[in-house]
Amino acid sequence: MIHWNYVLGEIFRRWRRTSVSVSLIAFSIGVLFVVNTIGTSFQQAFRAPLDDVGATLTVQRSGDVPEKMEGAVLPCSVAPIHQDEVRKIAQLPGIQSANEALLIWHFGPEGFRIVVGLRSNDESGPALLKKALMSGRFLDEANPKAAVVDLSFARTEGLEVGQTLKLQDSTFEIAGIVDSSLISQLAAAQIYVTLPEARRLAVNSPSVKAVHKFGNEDSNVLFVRADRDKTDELAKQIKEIMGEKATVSTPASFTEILGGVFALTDRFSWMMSALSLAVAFVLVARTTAANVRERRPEIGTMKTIGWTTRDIIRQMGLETVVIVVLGALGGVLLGICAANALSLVTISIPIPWDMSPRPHFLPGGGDQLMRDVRLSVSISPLLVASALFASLLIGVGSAWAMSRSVTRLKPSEVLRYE
Amino acid sequence: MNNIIITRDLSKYFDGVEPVRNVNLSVNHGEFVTLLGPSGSGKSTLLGLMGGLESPSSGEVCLEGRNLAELDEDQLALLRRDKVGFVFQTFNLIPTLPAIENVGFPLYPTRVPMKERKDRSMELLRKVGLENRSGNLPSELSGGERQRVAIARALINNPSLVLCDEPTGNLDSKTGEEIIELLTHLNAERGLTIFMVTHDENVARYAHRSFFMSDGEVTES
Repeated sequence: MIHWNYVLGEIFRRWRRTSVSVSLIAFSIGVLFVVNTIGTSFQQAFRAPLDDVGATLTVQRSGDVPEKMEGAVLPCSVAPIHQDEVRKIAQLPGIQSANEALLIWHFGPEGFRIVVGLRSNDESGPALLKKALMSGRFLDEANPKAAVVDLSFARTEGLEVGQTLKLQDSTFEIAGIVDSSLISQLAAAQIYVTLPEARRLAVNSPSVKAVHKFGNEDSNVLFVRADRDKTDELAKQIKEIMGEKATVSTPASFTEILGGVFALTDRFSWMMSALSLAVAFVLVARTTAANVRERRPEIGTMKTIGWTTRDIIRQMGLETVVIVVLGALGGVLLGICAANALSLVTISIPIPWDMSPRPHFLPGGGDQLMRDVRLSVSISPLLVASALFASLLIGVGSAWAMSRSVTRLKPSEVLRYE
Repeated sequence: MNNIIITRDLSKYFDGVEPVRNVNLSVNHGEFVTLLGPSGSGKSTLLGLMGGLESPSSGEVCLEGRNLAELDEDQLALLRRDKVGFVFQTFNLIPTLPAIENVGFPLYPTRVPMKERKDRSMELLRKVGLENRSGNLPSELSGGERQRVAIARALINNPSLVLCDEPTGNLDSKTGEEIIELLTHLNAERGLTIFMVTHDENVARYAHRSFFMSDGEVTES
């Protein structure tokens, strides 16, 4: 038989002890909640630059610096990726698609241009720019001599849809204008053309030929969609295919750049959670033991007037459970409030220099590119369940500690010294 | 058999002392018996042995024909719940429960319905003159009132025997006398068996029989 008036009387009339226990549990559960939410939020944030281009990871390879800055050149961070390598990568288990693009720096009489070649139907990479079309139409492989230009570039150069621009010996008609800033800085360029046309520019460029063997089917950036849980393993396999000069960028690449606290938070979140729970368990167990000590005369009286040890443990165990449940609910509430406060935070994720399409030797080209990401906080039912389960463990542990003390207590010894 | 409790060659040693030595006594149903003696003479230890709160070093205690040495701790608790009421010098009420709940407290672990428990508790509070204090916490009651609540609690399970350990020890003499008169009245009215440990010789005049304890040994006076 459980007597709630006794349970509630003990809980509310001994409010100091209750509030200490409830606060300890709530704090620990709150810490567990926040640490895990921070970990998840940062993981999501680190994925943002890649999510912007619909990719799980990107692949490039560093190569030699161009000898001459004339016509089309390949930046040293994006040396050619050959077709057979693309095919091998696309066949790796866990890879859903590997979309090619070709980044070119073009030095012509009109000045320096950043050009990207893309396939308009790709699901990842710069092809996503079709969502950022501001005017005109997007690229279409049926119309190879069309180009799309970036909005800010068009404004600076006074370009409009229908005008033409020249790259090497080819003339392209401006079919549309896109706002690259809406998509990503990873694949951002000033001029976008179809992948075959970009390849033709590279193949015919003496500056490219002088440094690289560039085939008709080659590219220099891959936007890969893959199973998220296999990212690290796939990155290793891709490096094995591409050689040691390959750069495979995953969400972890951004974590490494930020380093320090963020990496620690991500890597040691489980340890911090375990530590906070262990501390809570020890403190609550000590509070419970102190409770038993404080109530020795009461327990002695209970045994004397006919309560069995089981009756006492059941009754006091229920008190512990109620305190733990109150603490857990408080902790979840605290965690939700803290997590929601986190969602107001914006972090700036630096884009690695080798993933930036801008040359560092131009004015402003060496500036660190940043992607501002507002932390996205989602409270997963699994996390709530884990928090409640953790508090249950604390409760069971405390009740166990309490039951040992109660069992050992002899009423005659307690009452003799009363 | 008229004896409710018998001790045979009962002894207890601990910490190099022997507070109870070869005690042989018996209490009959309906008797009011006092055990007198100075402080430290072993009275409370003997009371603990008779209530199954202590286990004897040698000898035996039989309560209503059952040898307490043959029972484990929980069986002893259940025997006390059914047969024995306790009244302590320090009242030992539950500080977070009101008077009526303190009276019904021994019945909490039983299947007695709440209404019956409350009715019985209220009736006993009425009997000890505290019906208008039923909702008060122990901290809101005087010493005498607390002891009355403790007496009502000792009676809630209709015990065969009430063991009292210096029930007037923490009370002024007038209140103490009122408590003894209440117990005497319950003994006479209900045929309640009372075994009372006290060092107050005046209490003995209310008892049917009195024992005297000194250095662990008991003699009938």
